[in-house]
Amino acid sequence: MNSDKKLYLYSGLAIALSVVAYVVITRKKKLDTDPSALSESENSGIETSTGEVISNEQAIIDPTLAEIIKLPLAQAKTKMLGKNIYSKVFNINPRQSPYVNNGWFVNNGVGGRILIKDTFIGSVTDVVNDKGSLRNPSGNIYKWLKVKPSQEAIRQIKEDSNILIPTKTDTFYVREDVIKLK
Amino acid sequence: MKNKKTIIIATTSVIVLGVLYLAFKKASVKDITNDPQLRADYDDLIKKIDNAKK
Repeated sequence: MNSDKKLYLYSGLAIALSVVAYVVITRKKKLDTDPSALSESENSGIETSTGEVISNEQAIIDPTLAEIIKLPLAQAKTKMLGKNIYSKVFNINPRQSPYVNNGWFVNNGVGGRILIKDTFIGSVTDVVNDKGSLRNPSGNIYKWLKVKPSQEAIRQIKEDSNILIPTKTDTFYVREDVIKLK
Repeated sequence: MKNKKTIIIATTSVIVLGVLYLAFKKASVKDITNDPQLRADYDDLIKKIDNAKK
């Protein structure tokens, strides 16, 4: 290999390694514990009928929303269409399809999370059942809300995203237990 | 030839150092998702707002 080719190779390697270093350095460390001094029992979580563990905060649905989501799908849809929804917890992971897939290489995230609680997520454009028929603690199939996202939600998703993965924020789904109405 | 080598090495160095600078700059920003104190302050504020609404 002539010296020119070697130089290009090393140069390319150095740039690639620096990009990898960027991703590693900027990966956000999640807080190990919730510092808001919640008791252990409050943080222990609830196991759904399908074995999924969710936080207590997620399990408590506000009464108005609870009334709506326990209705049959068609009625819930009529009541929810056009409604503005807000994040109930930190670090919501919006999805491109109505189920959870956190695979390493293939997953259905949109490339970033809605980081802050009480963020205006957007307005509801559709309501569908969980694609894998996953059930909530009450035994009903989780409902997912398709959302036309707000500028603030898009901003937080982009802020949380990795430079190597493009974000998909035209529309997305959020699950009933991470949202609230105001 | 020597000039070309110098340009490539200089360009690579600038890119690498620039990327590392941006990485450390971004990593040093504290927000409520990675700083316990900010998160606690934020939660307190939310509780106060919720209580004020009641």
